[in-house]
Amino acid sequence: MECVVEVEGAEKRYPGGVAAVNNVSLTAGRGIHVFLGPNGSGKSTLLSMIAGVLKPSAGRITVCGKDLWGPRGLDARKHIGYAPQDPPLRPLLTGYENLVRHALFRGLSLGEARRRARELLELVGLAGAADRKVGEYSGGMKRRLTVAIALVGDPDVVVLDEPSTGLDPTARRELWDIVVRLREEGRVVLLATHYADEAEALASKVYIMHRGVVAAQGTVAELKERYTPVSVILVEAKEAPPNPEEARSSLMLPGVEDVVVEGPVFRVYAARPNVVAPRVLEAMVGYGVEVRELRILEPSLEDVYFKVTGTTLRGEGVGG
Amino acid sequence: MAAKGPITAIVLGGLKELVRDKTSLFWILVFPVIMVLISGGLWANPNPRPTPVGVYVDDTSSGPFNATLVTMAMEETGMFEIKHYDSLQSMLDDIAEDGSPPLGLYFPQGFAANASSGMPASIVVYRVNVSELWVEVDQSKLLGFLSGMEDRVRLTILNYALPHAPPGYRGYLEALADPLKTRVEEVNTAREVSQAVIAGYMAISMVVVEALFIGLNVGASMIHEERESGGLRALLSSPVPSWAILAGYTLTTMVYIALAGLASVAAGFLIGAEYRGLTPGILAASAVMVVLAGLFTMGLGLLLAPLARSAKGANGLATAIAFPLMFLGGIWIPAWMLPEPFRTFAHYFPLSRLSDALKLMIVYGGTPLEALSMTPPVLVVAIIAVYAVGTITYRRMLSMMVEKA
Ligand SMILES: Nc1ncnc2c1ncn2[C@@H]1O[C@H](COP(=O)(O)OP(=O)(O)O)[C@@H](O)[C@H]1O
Ligand SMILES: [Mg+2]
Repeated sequence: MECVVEVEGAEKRYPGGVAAVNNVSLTAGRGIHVFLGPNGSGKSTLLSMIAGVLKPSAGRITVCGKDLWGPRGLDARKHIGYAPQDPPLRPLLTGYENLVRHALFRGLSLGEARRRARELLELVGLAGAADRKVGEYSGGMKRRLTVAIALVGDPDVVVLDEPSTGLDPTARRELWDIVVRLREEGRVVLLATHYADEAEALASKVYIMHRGVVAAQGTVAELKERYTPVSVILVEAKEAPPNPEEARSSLMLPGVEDVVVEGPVFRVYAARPNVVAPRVLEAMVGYGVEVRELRILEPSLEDVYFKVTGTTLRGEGVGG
Repeated sequence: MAAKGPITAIVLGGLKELVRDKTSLFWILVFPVIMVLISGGLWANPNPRPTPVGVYVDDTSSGPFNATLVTMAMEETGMFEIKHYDSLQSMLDDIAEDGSPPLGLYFPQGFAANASSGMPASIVVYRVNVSELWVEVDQSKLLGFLSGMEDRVRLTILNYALPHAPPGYRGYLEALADPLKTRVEEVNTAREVSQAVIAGYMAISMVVVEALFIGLNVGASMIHEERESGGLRALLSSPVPSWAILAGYTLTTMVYIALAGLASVAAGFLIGAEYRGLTPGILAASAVMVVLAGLFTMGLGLLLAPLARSAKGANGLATAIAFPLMFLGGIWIPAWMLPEPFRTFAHYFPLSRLSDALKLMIVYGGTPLEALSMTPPVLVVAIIAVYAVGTITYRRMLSMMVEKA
């Protein structure tokens, strides 16, 4: 039977604060489910609840048919591997020892745990550093070890919270390869990121996280189709306009769907960019903006994110 | 069994971390050794100064074995510094005023005549009424001297009397001969104080002191440490029941205490401790008592955990509580030396009872049964209750952390 993660109306309210996660429902089967959103959008809170370390204020979460917070909660956790955003590592133990420790928590025998630890260190490219104390590891190494910890129990459901933060480009590619392999092995992967390119590269399904809710969900193609059936004219000015709101409205020309101003960068959404681009340039010069560069881009997930939430993945922006 | 792996993981990890963490190593292995060596060194020569002893002679009778002979013999040993008084009252006043001299020797009327003629002769030792160890030592020195003296008197009497006695009467005479009637006034105890006993006492005390420090520290800080290192998240997302985490940490505590205990006992050897009667029975009873001590202190530590916000804070709190308990709980300093109300507190304090029971067996040669009588069921129940309430506190903290993460 295929293992599925089901979230029904999950909610997390901290005392005195707004809901960090508000009424989220989803069903995640095999594949890579990417939760895309900037800092504070509720990704970690949601994944913590799914990983079984944070109790929802309301709602129900089941993993492989077992209620995570019910009487068989420990059973449900057997199916989960979790790489939290903050690496759960003992600095005085070596990478190898940390892995063995977690393997033992997962019920492996000492012999199995040792074998599994060596195997996973190899997988995440830490075999050379296996016997060094984790306190001496770099941030990227800790991150990779944390991913290995998530895999130690051969889980059906792998929860990875910002696994690529702090990795150099090569290590990031290698991590992506591992994640793709997890999908090919038929696992359910839940991955949080604030990188649109990571979502684009990996996601079987993207969940646009915004202020604690899933604002939109679908495959990358579906989302682009739904939210940006237009291209983007990217205009980089020499400096940011003194009044972004005014600059924005001066660019809302015929044929322009929307304009987003982020510092000196203008994103102009239009169905026929080749026709609109010269007019945009003209209008900008008229408005007194010195243009440094103009490009026509295919829409990206970043644009989708903006269209859906009105904010960018780096934080709040100005625009439609 | 599902919990075996997690427990192994916690204990193995704990041991490895101990070996790599210089601070923990110090407290568990170096600190007890230093404490035992220093305190044993202090005691090794318990009283180098001559003990001041006041002497008042009320005796006008005569005989070869008289007060002058006794006091001269005392001075000759170099162990005593005699101060003569011309009235009993002035001697008692000096003792009462500031305990200087702490001891007085009173030779009543008829001492010389009686002692020299084979009649029982009375002698009174006055002792300042404070529970201070030096006084104990001084007093036992004096009593030791007097009993040596008595042996010599006895021998003289026997040698004098035996030629006149029918054959076979020697035993009867020996039994009868009790020439010196020594009476000690205002005595609290007259305990045996030898280097072997002192060293043993310190070493076994240190085992319990370590149980106090380790249990409180591990119990108070474990949940904070797991949370700060992120390990709690990993544990909560794995199929490990909370009791297994607790069992792992409790076992780790026991292993730490065992290591510290071995270090203390070994340090005791270095300063000449004699451990009497290390029979399998005593070892087993001792193990049970050390485990009880560990459960008690770990339970206390778990109760302290919610009062702290971080592992560092928890360790500070645990140490702040352990230090006074070490001195005022009747563990390191014997209960009888403590002022009220600490003496009463120590009497009911489980660690003091356990430590006394351990010393009774290991230092004073008592039997396991005698030791067990010092740890009555109510004490065991109390200890287990403290641990149980501690575990409930732990579980409540854990479920609070699941709400907040
Ligand atoms: N323990 C906590 N107590 C109170 N508020 C919290 C706590 N953890 C997270 N939050 C708040 O919940 C919101 C979502 O945070 P988080 O899930 O960490 O977002 P993300 O992982 O997307 O950066 C944020 O506004 C954050 O400040
Ligand atoms: Mg996060």
